[in-house]
Amino acid sequence: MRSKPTILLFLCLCLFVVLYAAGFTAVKGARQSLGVNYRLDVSPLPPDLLKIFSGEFRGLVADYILLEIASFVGSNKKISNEEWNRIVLAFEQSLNLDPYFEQTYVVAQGLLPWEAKLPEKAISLLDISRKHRPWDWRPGYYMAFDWYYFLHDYAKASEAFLEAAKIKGAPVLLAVLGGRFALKGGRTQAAIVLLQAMLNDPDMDEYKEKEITDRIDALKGVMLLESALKKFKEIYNYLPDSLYELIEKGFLEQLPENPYADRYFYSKDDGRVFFDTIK
Amino acid sequence: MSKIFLITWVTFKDSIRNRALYGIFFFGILLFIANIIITKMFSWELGKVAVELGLSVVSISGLVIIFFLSINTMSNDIDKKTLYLILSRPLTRSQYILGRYFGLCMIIVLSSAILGSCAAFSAKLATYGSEGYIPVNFSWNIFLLGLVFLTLSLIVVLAMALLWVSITTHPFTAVLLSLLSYFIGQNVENVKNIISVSKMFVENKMLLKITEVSSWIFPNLAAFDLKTTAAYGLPVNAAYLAWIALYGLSYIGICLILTVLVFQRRELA
Repeated sequence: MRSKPTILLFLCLCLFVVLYAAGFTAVKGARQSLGVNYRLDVSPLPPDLLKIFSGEFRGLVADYILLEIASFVGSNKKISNEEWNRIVLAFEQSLNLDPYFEQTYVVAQGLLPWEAKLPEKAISLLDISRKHRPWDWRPGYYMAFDWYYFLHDYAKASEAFLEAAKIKGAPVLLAVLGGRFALKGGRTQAAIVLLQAMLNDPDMDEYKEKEITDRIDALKGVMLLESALKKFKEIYNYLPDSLYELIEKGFLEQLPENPYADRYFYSKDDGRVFFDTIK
Repeated sequence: MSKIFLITWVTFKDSIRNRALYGIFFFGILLFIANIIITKMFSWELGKVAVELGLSVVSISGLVIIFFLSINTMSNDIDKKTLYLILSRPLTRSQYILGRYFGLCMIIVLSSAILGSCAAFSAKLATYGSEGYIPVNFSWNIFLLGLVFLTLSLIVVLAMALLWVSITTHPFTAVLLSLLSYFIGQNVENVKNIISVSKMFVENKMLLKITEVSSWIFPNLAAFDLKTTAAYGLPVNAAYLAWIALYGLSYIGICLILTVLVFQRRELA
């Protein structure tokens, strides 16, 4: 026979279990409609101050901030400009705590230029990763892409592409693209010098070497033609109708060879020469 | 020497028997399970998350041992008057301090070895099947180096904590001061850097002086922190590491000598 207090205690326990189950179900149901995370739980502390508070566990705090950003953005909530600014601060905090983490710059690049329309912010964050990850060509590549695609700054895009191309293991496409944007951005000579320096790499395979050599030849051809066109204009005060006129008037003995096509493409409107027709 | 070793062995055996230690190990093991779950929440460089989390658990467990187990062991000797029994034997106060310190060091080294192995195992398990997502330069040798320097930083904090135990009269005060010293040690370098470049503080010569003096008094614990280096396999400089080790060992030496000096003058009755 159990004593009265024990039975009473048992009954109280049962009552609390029932109340708890009811409360749990109600809270769960109410919070389900709020999505994965309805607010960004990241402190607005300046990155340097957060570093002090994080102490030796700054790597973990950086990971936590990243998870918070991913969870907040993943909640499919419409994000306001003010919230995007907080997300940028969170990325800055995370990169200040751990500037090496690959996930930080990949997520920042995936969100800031595309979703938040903040390519400049993405570039400044990518630059931190680029400086801390000298073995990784992708931060530089993303920066170059942002300069080109979002900001239409071909000179900076070319510079970033060529810098990234110098990193061991980087695809040759970066060097080739660097050369293309150099031409568009008016820094052909600098691009030729950088591409020629890349050829000094003793580990370079034949395919990569040919791609870079072709791009150097194409750029040199463009430079030669543009220089002849400039001289032509200085003397005649107009631009020739075709590049062949440069030979006829004695500015060139022959037209340089284009490794990508049977000729160079010339725009009489602005006197620019291109090695292909891709704009 | 044999007397120091005797106290070391007794301290080690006493601490092993302490149930709090099992609690700490249990806590560590739980966190390693969490390591596997948390790592899977990331998509890139999973190895970095696993290693950093694993080594952080080793550090947290070590700090819990210092702040709760080690300080208590020493304070209990004084509070419960066990110390009279020990010192009534042919044993000097300095031998007692050194014995206790080395015994507690053995516990920390044992804890780091067990939890470090768990950290390595959990990192391996968490990244199993995701080998392409491990940082390119990661190496187990640098992981081991990170673990060694983490243990060194813990025994530096232990030496500092013992000094506070010898100076203060209450274990709570000793824990509080040790925690504060640990916090300062972790950030002194960072704060000094911020103050010296920030326009807000650059004119404040007094503050600059205080941080400069603090950086000499408190150990720069951030220097021992190789978690990020271990997580990414960043290059390490042998000479730099040797200097850090020398810095740490000399700081321990200074703390122990000061502890002995204070303890010898302390009124125990």
